[in-house]
Amino acid sequence: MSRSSFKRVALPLTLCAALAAAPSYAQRASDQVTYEAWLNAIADLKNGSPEAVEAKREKVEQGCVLDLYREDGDRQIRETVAGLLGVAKVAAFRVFCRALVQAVVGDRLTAADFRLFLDDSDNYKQSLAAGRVIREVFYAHEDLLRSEARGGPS
Amino acid sequence: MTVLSGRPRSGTGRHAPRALALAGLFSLLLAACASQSEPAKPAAPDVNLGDGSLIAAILAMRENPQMRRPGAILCAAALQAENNPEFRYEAFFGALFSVPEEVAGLTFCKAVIEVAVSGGMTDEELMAFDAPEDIRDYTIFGKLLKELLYAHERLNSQQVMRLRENRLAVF
Repeated sequence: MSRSSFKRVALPLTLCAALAAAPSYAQRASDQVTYEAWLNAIADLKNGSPEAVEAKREKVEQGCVLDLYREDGDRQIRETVAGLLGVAKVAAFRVFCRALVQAVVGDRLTAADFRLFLDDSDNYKQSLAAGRVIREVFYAHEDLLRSEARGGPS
Repeated sequence: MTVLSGRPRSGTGRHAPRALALAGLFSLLLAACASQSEPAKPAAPDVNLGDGSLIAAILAMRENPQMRRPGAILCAAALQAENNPEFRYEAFFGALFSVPEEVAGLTFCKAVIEVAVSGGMTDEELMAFDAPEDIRDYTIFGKLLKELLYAHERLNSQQVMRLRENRLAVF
C-alpha cells in the first residue's frame, strides 16, 4: 500500500467524524442548529437527581445513535467503531454512544474536551482533544465491561 | 449556525472537515512510519522496512523482532520529519497514550511495532487494508487503534517489571 493510497483511507479516525457527528442530535428540537446545544447537553449530563441523570443519559445516548445512523457512509463509521470497541457491527453505534456518555459521567471527559475537539481554530488543541477523546471513550467502554462482569449496572 | 470558533460551518453540524482531515493525517502518519526507504537521518540504523508500505513494515518487524529499537527510532524520525501543521502528532499521540509530548512519537512507534511483533493483527486483517474501498471492512482500522492502546499498556507493564527486577537485583 503506498503512502498516498493509505492517506486516502481516512477511517482510522472516522471515529473523529463520528464524534463530530454527535452534536446534531441535540439540535433536532431546535431550528437554531448549534454545537453549543450539544455541548450544553454534555455539560448538563451530571446535574440533577440520579433519576434525572439517568434520563438525560438515555436521551443523549439515543440521540447519538440516531444521528450516527443518519450519517453518510455510516457503514465505515460503524465498522471502525466496532473494531475499536471490539463489538459486533450491528451494536457498534449503541455501544460507542454509551461509552461516550460514560466517559462524561465517569469524569473522563468534559464538555471542554469536546469543545476543543470541535474548535478548528487551533490545530494543536484539536489534535490534543482528538487523542484524548478517542482514548477516554475507549477506556470508558472498558470500564463498562468490567462493571458488567462484576454484575454492576451496565 | 453558531460556531465555536466564530466561523460558519456548513451543513447541520454533522460534517467537520478538520476532523476528517485529522483522520487522513493519522493515516498519513501510519504510512510515514512505514516509509523508511530514504536514510535521511544521520544516525539512522540500517533497517529495511520493506517496500515502504505499512504492511511491509509490519511483516518486516515480525520477521526481525530484534530490530524493534532501531525500527522505532526510524519511525519516530519519520514522524518528526513529517511535521504537518494540520495535524500535531505529538499532541494527538501524547493524549492518546497519555504520555508527555516529547516522547509521543516514539511511544506510538513502539506500540505499532509491538502490535506487529505480537501478532495483534492477523495476516488477513493486514491484507484487508489493501481491499478496494467499496468492499473494505473498516473494522480493521478500529482494531488497529485498539491494538495500539493495548500494546502500549503491555510495554508499560514490561517496563515496570524490568525496573522491579533491577531493583531486586541490587539488593
